[in-house]
Amino acid sequence: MFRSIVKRLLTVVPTLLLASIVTFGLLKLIPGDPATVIAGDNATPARLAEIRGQLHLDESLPQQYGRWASHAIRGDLGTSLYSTTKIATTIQARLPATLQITLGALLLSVLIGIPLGFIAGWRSDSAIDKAARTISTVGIGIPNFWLGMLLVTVFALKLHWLPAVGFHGITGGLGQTAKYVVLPAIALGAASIAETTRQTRSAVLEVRNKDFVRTLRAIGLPNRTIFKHVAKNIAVPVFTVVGLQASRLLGATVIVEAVFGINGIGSLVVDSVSRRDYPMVQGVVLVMALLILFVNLVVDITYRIVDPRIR
Amino acid sequence: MTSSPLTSDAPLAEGSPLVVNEAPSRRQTPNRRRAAAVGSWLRSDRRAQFGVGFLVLVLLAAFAAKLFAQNPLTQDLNHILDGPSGKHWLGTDDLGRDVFSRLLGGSLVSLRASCIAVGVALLIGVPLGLLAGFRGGITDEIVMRCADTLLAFPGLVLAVGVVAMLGPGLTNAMVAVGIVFAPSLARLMRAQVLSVKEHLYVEAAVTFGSSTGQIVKRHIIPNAVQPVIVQTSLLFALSLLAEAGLSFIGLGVQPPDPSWGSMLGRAYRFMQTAPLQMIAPGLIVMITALAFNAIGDSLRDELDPIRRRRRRFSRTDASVVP
Repeated sequence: MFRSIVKRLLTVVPTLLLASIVTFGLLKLIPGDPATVIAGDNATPARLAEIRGQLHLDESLPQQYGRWASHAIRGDLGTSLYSTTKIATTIQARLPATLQITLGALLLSVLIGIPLGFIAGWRSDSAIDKAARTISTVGIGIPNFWLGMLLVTVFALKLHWLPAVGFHGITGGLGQTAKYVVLPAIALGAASIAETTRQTRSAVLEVRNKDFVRTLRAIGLPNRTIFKHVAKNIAVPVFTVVGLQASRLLGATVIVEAVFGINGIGSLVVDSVSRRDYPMVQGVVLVMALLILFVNLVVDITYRIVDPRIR
Repeated sequence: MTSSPLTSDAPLAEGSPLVVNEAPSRRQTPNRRRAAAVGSWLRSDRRAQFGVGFLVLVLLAAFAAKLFAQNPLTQDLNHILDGPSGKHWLGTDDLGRDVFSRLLGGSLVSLRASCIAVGVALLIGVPLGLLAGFRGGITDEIVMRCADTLLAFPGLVLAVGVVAMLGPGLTNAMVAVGIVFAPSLARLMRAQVLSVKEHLYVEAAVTFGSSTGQIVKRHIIPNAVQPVIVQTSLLFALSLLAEAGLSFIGLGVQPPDPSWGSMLGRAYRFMQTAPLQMIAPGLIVMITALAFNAIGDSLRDELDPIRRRRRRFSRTDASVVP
């Protein structure tokens, strides 16, 4: 087990390297002279020189990458071109909001998706199964921002049950936070809930028809015991699906945060695009990729601990 | 696109005892047999009927609209944010433009955008997956490591990053989305090729002295491509949603061109005063995505020989019983 964990940890190195190259390369996609693009058409030569110096544009590409990467490793992602604050500081300030709605959505997909999928698979073709299948079909197809708009219209603008936009840090008390998190989490998580339900259902269906389950039934074990065996056997595939949702959810915050006016890193990257704050965009992309690589790593290592068959 | 995979089931169907009573069909040309297979798929599956039917309807309506409907850019400034009326079937938007014609005009924009993303994903993902699976070794290692890396970027975020650098615009955005989708296709194709490669008929072809190109073309691709086709129709749905999302935040299609996502973006600004504006574009995005998904699910069953045979069995049984 330890060997396989170490082996998995070692694969992080090339992936990290490639991911950093991709992120670094983003800035090189800017057509023409980046300094001119960033400063605008009417920039003074002094401003152009300043931007060139700030981005180290006169160095060779490997030199630029080396400088950028060595700073990034130390947590220094450079300075915003828009507000002259440190990029890392801004991201740090914005990250909690994004993490809260992402975790909220993840929690919903676990708390709703797994039990619903389990019952649906356990009693396939029952009314619950049909309901679950409808929910998961619609959930995968519904645009998350549209769902967000519908939720805001109904629950905030018409019924006034919940706030329409904005965000509340966890320091202001859990109840207050929950009020602001619940609608974004539903909008963000709908697709994940659907996916989790669907995959749990098919995992249960598959295990339920296996020979060992038939044997357990044949020797007359109570349903509760059989349930335990099935649950253990679907753990790995279900866990995989939930792990994959992290990436989908983080990506979707880019759009959902815009609907709910949440100042997270998703809306940060969108705002930075219109401000032509390229280093900030680069910084957020890198942070998101790192978060996902980390989640994938945790998922993979947990597997290896839970299921010794995986090498 | 739907017809090519079905050629590969021809040898399979001929080998199965169930097809004996369809003997006349053997004399048909491959094209006719393909058409017959598509026909029987469409007749037998409701999901396919819904999916294909809805998409054909949207396309027909979009082309008809180009000829007959009002210009989606014409402003009727006496009617701003109006509800449905005889003149404007679905009302007007904040600039007095007819929502119904914009919806139809937007359908071409949105569907073309999905085609770009899916096309890019196929062009990159399938050949690389084929190469990695067939060659193995260091090629496999490099391709798969790159795929893993790209998968670490949340799709929309990388797309937003690329759009940030290249400038807003639908084509840039959708090419980026396509690149993000490519690794999943590459992985799928590779896994399929790996398993097909081990089959006896491939070995037989090697013994016969077929060239590598022949083996790949005649044996590997037709037998490996089916899950890719299923995945493609699911990717269409995802691309559609991605286009809507990117246009919603203003990074996709640029005004005044209509797309479903940009219509929702405008509707968002008037959510308080005109909440009904968001209904039509949202619904059509959702139903189109559902249509693509329905086609994908139905194709998954149709292309899976075991499930299909099971269904044919039950169908034959039903016809015998009455």
